[in-house]
Formats: sequence, C-alpha cells, structure tokens
Amino acid sequence: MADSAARISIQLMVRNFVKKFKGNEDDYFNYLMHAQDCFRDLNISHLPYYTEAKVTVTPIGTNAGIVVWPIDMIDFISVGLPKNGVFWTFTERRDMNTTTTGTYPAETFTSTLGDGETFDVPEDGGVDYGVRGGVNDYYYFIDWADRRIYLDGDTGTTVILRYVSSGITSGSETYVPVVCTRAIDTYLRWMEAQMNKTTLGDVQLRKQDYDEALMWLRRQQMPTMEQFRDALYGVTTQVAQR
Amino acid sequence: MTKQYIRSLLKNTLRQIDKTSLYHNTYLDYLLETAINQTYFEIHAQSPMALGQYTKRYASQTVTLDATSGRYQTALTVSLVPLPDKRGGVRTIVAANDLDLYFAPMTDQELNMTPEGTEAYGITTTIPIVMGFVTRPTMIEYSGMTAGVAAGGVHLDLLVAFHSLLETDVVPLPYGQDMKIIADALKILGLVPPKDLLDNNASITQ
Repeated sequence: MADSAARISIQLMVRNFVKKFKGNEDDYFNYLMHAQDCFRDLNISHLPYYTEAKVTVTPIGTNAGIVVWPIDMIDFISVGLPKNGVFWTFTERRDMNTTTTGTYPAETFTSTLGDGETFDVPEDGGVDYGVRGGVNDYYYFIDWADRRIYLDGDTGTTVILRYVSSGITSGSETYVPVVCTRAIDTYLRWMEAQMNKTTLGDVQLRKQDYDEALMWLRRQQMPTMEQFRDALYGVTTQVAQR
Repeated sequence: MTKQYIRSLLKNTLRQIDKTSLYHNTYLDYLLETAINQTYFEIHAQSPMALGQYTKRYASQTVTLDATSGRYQTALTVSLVPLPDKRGGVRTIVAANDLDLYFAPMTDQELNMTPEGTEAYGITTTIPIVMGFVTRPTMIEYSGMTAGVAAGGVHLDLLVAFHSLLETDVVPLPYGQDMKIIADALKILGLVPPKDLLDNNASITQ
C-alpha cells in the first residue's frame, strides 16, 4: 500500500484520505475542492517552490514588449535573462509608460504619445549594473489587473519568468509533494468538521492539528547543516593557516 | 439461491389455502424486494463501501452523448435499489479502456454546478483520472467524460432491484439474513386475510 514516490496526484491523495479515515465517498469532490484550496495556500505561504517558465515576449514598439502571465501564476518573483551563467533580473520601473488604449491582444499604441518607446537612459551592457554609475539595460512594469508585464530593453523574443504557481496544473495531472500529505490530510479533517457542522471544540481541535502540521512542514524545509555551514563560510574572512 | 428459488421458498412457506396456492408471483416478488431492500439498507448504514458483493456485473455497457443535454450517459436496462447515498444502486463503474479511471459519485445539483471541459474542477486534464457520475432512475449521467473513454464503454456493478433480476440470477443475500427476509415477507402477508372464506374444502376458482 505504501508508495515510494515523492509526489502523488492530488486526486489520488484525496482518494487515499477517504480510505484512510473511512470517510464518506459521497464527499469525494467536496474533499477534492478543499484539497485544491489547501495546496494552493501551501504554495503561496508555506512552500519554497517557485516555477520558472520561458515566456514569449510580444513586441510593442522598439525594444519593448509585453509578457502575458501564465494561467497558474499567483505571485510574481522576478523576470530576467540568462547572462554569463547567472539569472540576470530586470529592474522595476513604476514610471514606465505602458499603453493608452486597448486591451491585450488588441493593443493600440500611439507612437506620438511615446507608447512603446525605449527608455532614454545611459546603458552600459548590463553586466556592470551594480557597480558605481552602472544602470540596468532591462526594465519591467507589472500590470496586475491585466495579468501582464511590460518590458523595456532589447530582451529578444523570450525571457525567463519566475513566479509562484497555484500548483494546480490544467494541462496535465496535478502532482503534490508527499511531504504535504499530513498538512492536506489535517486540513481535510478540519474541513470535514466544518462541512458536517460538528461541535466548536471539534472544529478547533482539528484546526490545531492543521496548524501543527504546517509547523512541521515548515521545519522540514529548513536549510540543511551543510547549507548553514556554507552560509557561515561565505561570510567569514579566511586567513592563511600558519 | 436464485430468484425463482427464493420466491418458491416463500410461496411454499405460506399457509396453503388451496392446492395450488394462488398467490401471484409478481406480488410475492415485490414483497421479497421490500424485505431485501430493507436488509441492503441496514448493511449500507453500517458500511456503505461493503455492498459490492451483492451486485451484478453488466459488462461493456454503451456510453452515448445525449444531444439534448450535451452530456454522456449510459441507459440502465434494469431497475436499481435506490440506496440513500450518491451512488444509489450503481456501486462501481470501470472504464473498459482505462482501468485506473476513478468514477466518483455526485448529485445532480453538483453536476449542474460543475463546468464541463478541461478546466472542470480546476484540476482535471484532457486525459482525466477522475470523472463524476450521477445515478438517475433510468440512466447514469457523466461529468468530465471524454469521447475516448466513452468509445470503450463501461463495466457496471449494479445493485439490481429483485423484480428486475432474471429467474435464474443468483441473489446474493447477506449471510444470516435469509431467515429475516422470509420472515419480513411473511409478516406483511400475515396482514392479508384469505380471499376465500367459504368452508367447503374446495379449491378457489378465480
């Protein structure tokens, strides 16, 4: 019965929950929806996972473009390009001129008003950004309401977007790390009490179980001993051994 | 015990009011169905997941797309025991060409609240691993069914009403409940007075 895989489909996880706790199979879809909510919350607040996607830039004007967010994107982390072996992130410019009319993809740009124009700032190749006098070559502005990002700079046709995913996959099966099993199980037990309108004490007890499962989940993701040691070495000035 | 033997057992247990015992078979069938359904209900109340051993398998049933509702469905050829859960008399559904597919029961209202298509439930895919179904009196209606799965048909394990069973079908009565079922049927019959009260020691001629 045990499964050695480190991840499991969310649908199967809920079936296992019903079996383990002798739950009412009639409530399968109700549990499935709650499990989906729980996993989304875990992705937003408790798991360190992020998704990295190569996304297409739709050009607007010269060296400017728009990236439409993936459907599962909940929160933004960064946007950038690979440069000299590292992930080079763009700089947010909240004063970026974006567009005056229209809604993607039927954008209307008015070049006489400066839509789609590249910033008139000194650029020095990007690689020197961070040193005195250096500026970034690439900028972005997030349009939260319309779920898109405006880019400025010669980014090419593809950039890399790092974001927090809902964790729910629509094009293929949704998998959940098995380390989340305890948290999701206790969450479903909590929701079970809510659905069945049990006593207040029962609901609170189950919520407490879920909170403990969350703490356990967060502790499980703490850095390892080696990572701590490496961080310590990284900030320590070493001298020659005499 | 087959259906006809159970009926025979009841019929021959009755007080013989004439040489042929003129109790109509259909009447006896419905009496037995009432008693058996009561037993199924009691087992269901104890363990809803343990009714599979009382089902009859109907293999390779057709799944068709209903033009009116736009939903896939399977027509039922028998009457079911309408148990008071979402599955009702449809205890198991297995897709013929995808044995891992899980069919979860839902109500008709839940079906109405569920959008169709690949975004249904927000977690299904173009190749779903979970589908919903609603048990109706004469059909099973599916949610999230695909043309590929429908083409292969489904195998059904149904809890069939006694009157819909064939004469030679074995009726898997719950162990230890046989006596109770016959006794329950006799209890109802005990309320029915004999039709012929003539004291002439002759057969009833109806």
